[in-house]
Amino acid sequence: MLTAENLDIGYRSRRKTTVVARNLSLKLKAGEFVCLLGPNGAGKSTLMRTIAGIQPPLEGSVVLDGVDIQTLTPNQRAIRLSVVLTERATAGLLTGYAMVCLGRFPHTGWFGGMTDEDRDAVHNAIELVGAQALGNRLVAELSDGERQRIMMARALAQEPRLMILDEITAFLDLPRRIEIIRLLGRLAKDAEHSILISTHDLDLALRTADRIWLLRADGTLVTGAPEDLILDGSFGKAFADEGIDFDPLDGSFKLGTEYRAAVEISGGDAVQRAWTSRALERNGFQSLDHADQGGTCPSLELLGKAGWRLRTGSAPQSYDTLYDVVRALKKARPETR
Amino acid sequence: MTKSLEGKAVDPPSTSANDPRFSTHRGRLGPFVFPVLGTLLATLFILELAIGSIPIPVGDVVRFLLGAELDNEVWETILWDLRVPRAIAALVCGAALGAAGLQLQTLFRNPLAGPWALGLTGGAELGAAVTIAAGTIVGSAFLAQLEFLSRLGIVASAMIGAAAVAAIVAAVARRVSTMTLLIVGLMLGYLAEGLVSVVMHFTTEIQGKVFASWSDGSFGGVQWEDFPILLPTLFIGLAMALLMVKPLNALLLGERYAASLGLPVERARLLTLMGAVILAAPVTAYCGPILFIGIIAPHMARGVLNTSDHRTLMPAAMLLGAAVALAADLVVHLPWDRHVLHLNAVNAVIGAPFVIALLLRNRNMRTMEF
Repeated sequence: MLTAENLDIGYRSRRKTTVVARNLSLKLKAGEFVCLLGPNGAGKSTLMRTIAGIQPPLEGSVVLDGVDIQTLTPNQRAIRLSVVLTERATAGLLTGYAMVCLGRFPHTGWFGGMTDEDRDAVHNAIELVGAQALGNRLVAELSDGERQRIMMARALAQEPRLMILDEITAFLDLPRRIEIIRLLGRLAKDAEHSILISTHDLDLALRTADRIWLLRADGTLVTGAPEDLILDGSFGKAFADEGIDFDPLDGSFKLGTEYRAAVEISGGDAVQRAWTSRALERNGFQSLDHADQGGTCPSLELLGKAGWRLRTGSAPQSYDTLYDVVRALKKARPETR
Repeated sequence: MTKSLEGKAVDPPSTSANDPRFSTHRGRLGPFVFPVLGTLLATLFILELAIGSIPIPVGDVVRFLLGAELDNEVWETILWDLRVPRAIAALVCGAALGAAGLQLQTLFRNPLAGPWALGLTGGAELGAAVTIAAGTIVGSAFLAQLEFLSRLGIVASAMIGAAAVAAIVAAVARRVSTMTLLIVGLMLGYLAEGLVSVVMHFTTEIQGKVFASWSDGSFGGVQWEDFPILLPTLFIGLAMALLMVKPLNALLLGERYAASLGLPVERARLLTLMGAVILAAPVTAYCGPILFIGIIAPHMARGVLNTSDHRTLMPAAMLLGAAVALAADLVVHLPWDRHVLHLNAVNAVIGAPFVIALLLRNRNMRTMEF
């Protein structure tokens, strides 16, 4: 549905041309939910704006349904794609409903009068995002999450083929983020909209996106299903460039601290083991299942609800919390500089 | 069938013209707002005709307006030659200032914008002053023969002056905060007024005096001969304002969002600014710089309607602008026995506290988001 080949993006001013990214090749299919990931400064926003037709590409073209979007009039473009921006829209005395109605802007006549069809679209949009309770409230008085919901409904009411949402989860807490991302994934499938979001939410993107666009710091773009990008090492490489270790096993970051010592851990159930390892790792201790260093490394026994028993050469000590375990370990194995 | 939040099936909402569930207004908007405003306006208009140093009974005023002949010829002369043109001027000029104020407030997303606050009035004043002074230098006898043309010239030069200031303000607006923009506008206004004094230095003493009284602002100077220029220009401006309601609604969200909704933003900005110039410049040319009406009328409209939707806000701002202008002028020509009040004195006494109250009371206003 949306394609671009050999696309160069960036800014052109009278004096010079700044290329942000070169030779991008993109494809976005109908009903797909795509997350654009990448470090700050890689050009995510520039790419989003270029695809939205807000700024022209330096080279190449973005083609939506067979038409170069730069050749469309603003109105034709607004019928095909809608955007939700990071910036807070000033809302004045607009109610949620009035805000969503503005989404019908490209469809209505001179005075913006609404037909039944327009009203249906507005109601559908409000229902799709579950914003019924927000319709009669002033947008200016909504929380960030509620406001994003209304802005999404507005973008939906525009009835576009493609919705572009920039950093939509940036100001939201985790439950709200999950809610919004899940909602977008559902919208893509149910309403046959294509949805492109840019986000820093790696974990959520990996779990929900049909496809990831990974824009690297050097301005190159790799695309694919999240899992494919992990398996072929693209993620590892992208984040390695940033000095971050990507753990392909659970799809998250390692902080890349150097281990100061190893700890042998034993016993406990899977959950206790996992979080114990995590706590040790956070503090620079590598956890090993079976140490074969002749008893030189500390050993930690996991006792379920009874806590932890730590042996650091001398007599074993029992601890109730991981916090205390870590403190004891740090004392026993001070950081070497 | 669509689903409600609880998952119950409800009737498709599309069948009713007025949606029962959602409103574009906060709270309930009575259907009476516009009839009430209309009645208020008619009452003020009649009072404006009836009250003055020579009071005329309201009944006779109404009969006169309905086309009947009055027994008292003096009353008829007063009404026809003095009070009717003045009332019409207050009506249309007030509406024009209200509309221009609303356009500018939305365009610059600034609650304190208005033709005067952004310097448009000052620019118009300067344009008019230059033409008047030039007329003096060229020779007033020559101009007197072409009085109609000279009036036209004054309006045109007022428009050029206002447009020049508007262009500067628009160019600056991109780069500065809303607060800075206001200060720039005010300074441009003062600059223009300063230049007006300089220009007046080169005119005759009499003309200087005429100009000084003109800059106090008054609807009383407008005569029947002025309407062939004043009315059509203002009607064009008012019509443009009404035609721009949809773009103005989109501009509420900011220019980026407006563009994403399919609005050709540059064109809309230009048309809105042109509209404000077409409204503010002739008013200034004929009635002098008129303060505050352009700022407060849009806020009154918002207060009455509880909405930001320009489809209702724009006509309401026009009606309220006209009502405020008529009310202020009414105060001006109450039969004061000691001296004459100036229109701008009344406007300032009403308007300045109004604006201060707006700033203090409205939470959003303090952050300049409205």
